[in-house]
Amino acid sequence: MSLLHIDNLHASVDGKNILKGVNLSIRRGEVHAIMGPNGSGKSTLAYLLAGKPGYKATQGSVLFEGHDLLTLSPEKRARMGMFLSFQHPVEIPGVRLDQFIRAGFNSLRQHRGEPELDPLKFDRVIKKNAGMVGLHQSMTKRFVNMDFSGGEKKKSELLQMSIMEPLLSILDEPDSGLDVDALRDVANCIKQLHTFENAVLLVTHYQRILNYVVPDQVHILVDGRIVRTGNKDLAHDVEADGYDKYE
Amino acid sequence: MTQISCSSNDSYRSRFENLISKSSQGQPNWLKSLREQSMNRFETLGFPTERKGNEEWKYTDIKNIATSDFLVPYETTLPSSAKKRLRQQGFDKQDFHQLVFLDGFYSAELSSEALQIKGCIIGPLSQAWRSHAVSSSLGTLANSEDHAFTALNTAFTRDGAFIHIPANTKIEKPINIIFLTLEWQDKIATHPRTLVNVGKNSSAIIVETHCSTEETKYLSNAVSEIFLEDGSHLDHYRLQIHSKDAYHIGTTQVRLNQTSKFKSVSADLGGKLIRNNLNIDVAGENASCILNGLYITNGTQHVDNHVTIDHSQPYTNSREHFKGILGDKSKTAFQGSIIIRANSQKVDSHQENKNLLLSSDAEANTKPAFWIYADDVKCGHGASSGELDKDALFYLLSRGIPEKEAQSMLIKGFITEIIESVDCHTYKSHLEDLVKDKLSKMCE
Ligand SMILES: Nc1ncnc2c1ncn2[C@@H]1O[C@H](COP(=O)(O)OP(=O)(O)O)[C@@H](O)[C@H]1O
Ligand SMILES: [Mg+2]
Repeated sequence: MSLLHIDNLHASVDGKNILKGVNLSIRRGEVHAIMGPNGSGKSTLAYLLAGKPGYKATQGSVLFEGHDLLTLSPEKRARMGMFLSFQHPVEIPGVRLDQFIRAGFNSLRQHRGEPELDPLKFDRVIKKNAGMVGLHQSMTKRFVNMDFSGGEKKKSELLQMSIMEPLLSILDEPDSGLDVDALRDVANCIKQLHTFENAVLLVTHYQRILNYVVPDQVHILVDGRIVRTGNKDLAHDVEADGYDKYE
Repeated sequence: MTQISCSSNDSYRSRFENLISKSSQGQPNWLKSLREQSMNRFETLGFPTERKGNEEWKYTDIKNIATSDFLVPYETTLPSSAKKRLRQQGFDKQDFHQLVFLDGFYSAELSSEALQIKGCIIGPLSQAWRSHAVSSSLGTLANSEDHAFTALNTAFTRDGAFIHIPANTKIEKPINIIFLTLEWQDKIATHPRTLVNVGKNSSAIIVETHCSTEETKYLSNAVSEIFLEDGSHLDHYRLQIHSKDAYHIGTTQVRLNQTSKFKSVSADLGGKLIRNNLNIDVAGENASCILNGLYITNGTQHVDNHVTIDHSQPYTNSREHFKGILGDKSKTAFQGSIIIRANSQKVDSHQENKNLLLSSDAEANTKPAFWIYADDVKCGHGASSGELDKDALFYLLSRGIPEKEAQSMLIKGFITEIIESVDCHTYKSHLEDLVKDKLSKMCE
């Protein structure tokens, strides 16, 4: 059974049709990449899967582990093992990153019938994982994304992912705005977090990150449709030739 | 309208005469004549009930105060409810100098032993009327001439805190002043008065709490005069958690001399109708002030913060940051005036007021006003009011956090930076608890 099964998905935002029939199936253990020009609907797909208000499916279906995903609240989706790494994570004044992650982590544990992790134990976990994603531990005591650099924001998303241990991680441009070193760190980190038990849907503009995180399938999304699916070589082709010939 | 305030003035006059005959024994002549002058002035001014064209009182209608008949207590008792309330609001006397006033009267039993060493005085005003430090400064900063409530306080005040810190003295323990209103059959009025003088290069922390034992109706009309001498530092944390039926007019008048630093963090959580006047004379070069405030309102609460900063000297700076969370049909106002006088070059001043509206019936008003007569200055301001940030909410939900919890994290987070600006650990955690309490009641 697929972990995620998207069938003929049409979706609109503010009454504007963005997705026009997306088909996609992801199994545990796989990495899928979605590439496409700006405005083709990549983030729309990511938001829709995560349940962002205002993003409406007008046709088609999405099954997550066999459940109808589209009827579930965003918090329910997260508890079932869905995770979205945001392209532009929001800044939240007054809420500390570690407290934010702990609240999410404990609600996932509660959902699984496990007791809350006490703050001290959690502190150890977050310290270890911050080290792994290359985020200085002091950053976790700061307010969520406030005055974080572009790279720190992306690492903060990965830190959250590493603690939540989701079944499906949708990573919306985790590589945008990073320099070469940061890109390598982020890519290696994604690779480390990917196992046979979970899956990654990686949205990207650039082929480069796929040298580290090698995809099983690459999909080209243009104007709300997947116009081509192939293996990792397809990513090289689009980077060399651009998207024009798919439009 | 005129008739009402007239008859009300009459009753204030007779209460005043009574008070003088009963309580002025042993009081020095300067005080008697100051009271008499202030009473006369109050009669001339009347309550500022007329709001047409009256910018000062544009947002706040005090008609209910003007037309109510408030008794003036001549003495008070010490009920067990006061001790109980104090266990909630008081801090460990080991760590604080505590001064407690019941209905405006000093309670020696509930207070720490008055401190009088090396010229340092932390005690009740009533024991210091004859001190030169009081007679030479009381009423010189707080303006009874133009402000009816200040005049009324000066005429009627019975007691309050007197804090006199000589030069080069650091008061290590924070000073905790508690004004507690007890339960009465009738509505009462209290007029607590505070006088603070921080000497050259000295420093202190003052917590000032206004509260009551029961949910009764009363008027609390407080006035504080605070002098900061050259190079001194004062942190002033004001907490207002009155009864839900209480009226409170709180006036804090501060003068900053050269290179002195003043920080004020105010929190308004209680009360029915609240008006705070915070007036700062930045009257010495390189003096600076940080004025932060938070207010959390629900029901039909009304909170008006009126802040005036007068930069009369160059190289001075000020930071104002007030944040409010409004629920139900509550209404708030923030009026921030900044004056930069002609010779006050290089003044750097910023004002910010942000409001979070949890209900479409709540109303937050912001009115900045600037009078800038110098050309080489920085003066910025910002204001906003709106609902919870939907993108932030979705971010939290997408991590599995339940919606109620996510909302309360964001709401609490909205005022965290104000709470964080408190530099006294014990008071900060006390304030955090009170804020959490109020917010959980509002989000039920
Ligand atoms: N909130 C919105 N309201 C209206 N249109 C939107 C909104 N968000 C995105 N769009 C539009 O949807 C299209 C797809 O955007 P997006 O999914 O962000 O593309 P991508 O991530 O592939 O760059 C674009 O034309 C964009 O302008
Ligand atoms: Mg995008």
